[in-house]
Amino acid sequence: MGWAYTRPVRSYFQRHENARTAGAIGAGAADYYISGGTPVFSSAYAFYIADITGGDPWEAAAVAAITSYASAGVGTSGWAWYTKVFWYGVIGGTVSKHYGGEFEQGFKASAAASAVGMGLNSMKVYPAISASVAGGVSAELGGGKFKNGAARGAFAYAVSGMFAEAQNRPDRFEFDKSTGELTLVKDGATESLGNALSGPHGNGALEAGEYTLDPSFDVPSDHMNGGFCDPAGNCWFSRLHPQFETQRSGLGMHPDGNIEGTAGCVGLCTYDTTPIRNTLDQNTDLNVRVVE
Amino acid sequence: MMPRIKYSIKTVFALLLIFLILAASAPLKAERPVFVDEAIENINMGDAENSKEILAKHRDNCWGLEPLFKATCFVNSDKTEKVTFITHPGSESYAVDIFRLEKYSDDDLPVYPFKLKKFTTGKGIILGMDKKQLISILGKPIKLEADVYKYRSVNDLYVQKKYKMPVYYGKYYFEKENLVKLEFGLEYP
Repeated sequence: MGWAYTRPVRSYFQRHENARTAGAIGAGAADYYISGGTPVFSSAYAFYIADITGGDPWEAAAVAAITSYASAGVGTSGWAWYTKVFWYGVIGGTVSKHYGGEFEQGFKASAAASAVGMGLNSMKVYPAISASVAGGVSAELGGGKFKNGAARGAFAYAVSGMFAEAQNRPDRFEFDKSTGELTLVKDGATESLGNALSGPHGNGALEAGEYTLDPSFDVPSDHMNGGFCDPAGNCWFSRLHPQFETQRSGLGMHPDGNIEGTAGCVGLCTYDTTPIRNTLDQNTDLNVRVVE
Repeated sequence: MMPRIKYSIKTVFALLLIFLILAASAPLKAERPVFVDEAIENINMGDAENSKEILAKHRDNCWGLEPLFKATCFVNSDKTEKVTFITHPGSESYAVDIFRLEKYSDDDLPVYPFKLKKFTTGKGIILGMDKKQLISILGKPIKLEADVYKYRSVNDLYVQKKYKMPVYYGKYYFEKENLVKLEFGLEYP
């Protein structure tokens, strides 16, 4: 290529694997933050790295673009975390295979990296840090062809997906007892999830304050005469843990079946509660803030 | 011959009005339905303070065996009966909302503190009694499914007033004419 690469930079990237990893993370981040998810930077980076390491730059750029779109799609899919890990693995394995490496090696590297990245995301670690750690894991486990040359540029896809996923994460649920509205709060903006209620039976509505929320689990449809089912037939329960002292126990969030109202749980009144259930399952440790 | 008393329409309306006012202001008598049982041994429904002393040591030892609710289990002295005290989500800790009594054969649960030979409900029901004995105590079931006798009240004044809950239910399971399992309490709304 006749491009005027500055010799020291080129030489540095050629000699240092870690620099190529860091560059991939930077390209992935730039894709997300600067080009709005379009894989401009990761493709350009793949092009550059392939060129200086003796690969086919155009092919590397194309692979980077395709895989970047694919992994951003996985990151924002709304699938369960293990399904995402699987598909990140498939993408990684395919890239590895494409460049003459083993599918299994690429699969393991990408799957492990994405699992680590998602784990850190769920702990609300700053996206750049979780993406960097994920990148490091991928580089360590990848080895071989996956570790070298043009594949390194294509690796930016994983980072892009990780950023997309981190940015897509909501801040919390909010339940307003006075209006009965359940909302999802993200970056200060609220999205209504429909009506919900708490009480009036037993000890009445739950207390205002912060609660953590466990992943949901299925409840038999005949349990308590369908008390945990929505009209669409989804029966589930997710435990709420008050972050303050209280005498009440066992609270949760669930569809409000049988007789209207709950004994303190947040009962969801929407016809099909699947979207709410998916949101809470895909964002582990999401809090619920109950306000008066 | 009786003298005919003539009432004016105004008088009739006035009397009717007085009757309605008196009827409305009289406190409604909330009688306990005959099939409503509210205890097993000295654990009373909804009474957290009373139950705490007995349940605290083994609190929620059956949680997980239940599909959803927190539960504490005990067995009788010869480990042939198991009682489960179940707490609703949102209830006070140790408040029992549902009682379950059934036959048992393992020995990995704690013995009830008072070492009872048989568990007895507040209405005097014990495992092993026959259908006639049950009916003599609780009355005829509202629903009968094979060998399961079911009782249920919705929005009963007594239950509403005492527990602020809309539904009470009781299920009694028979095998070969003998009561082998029962479950009663407040249905989670």
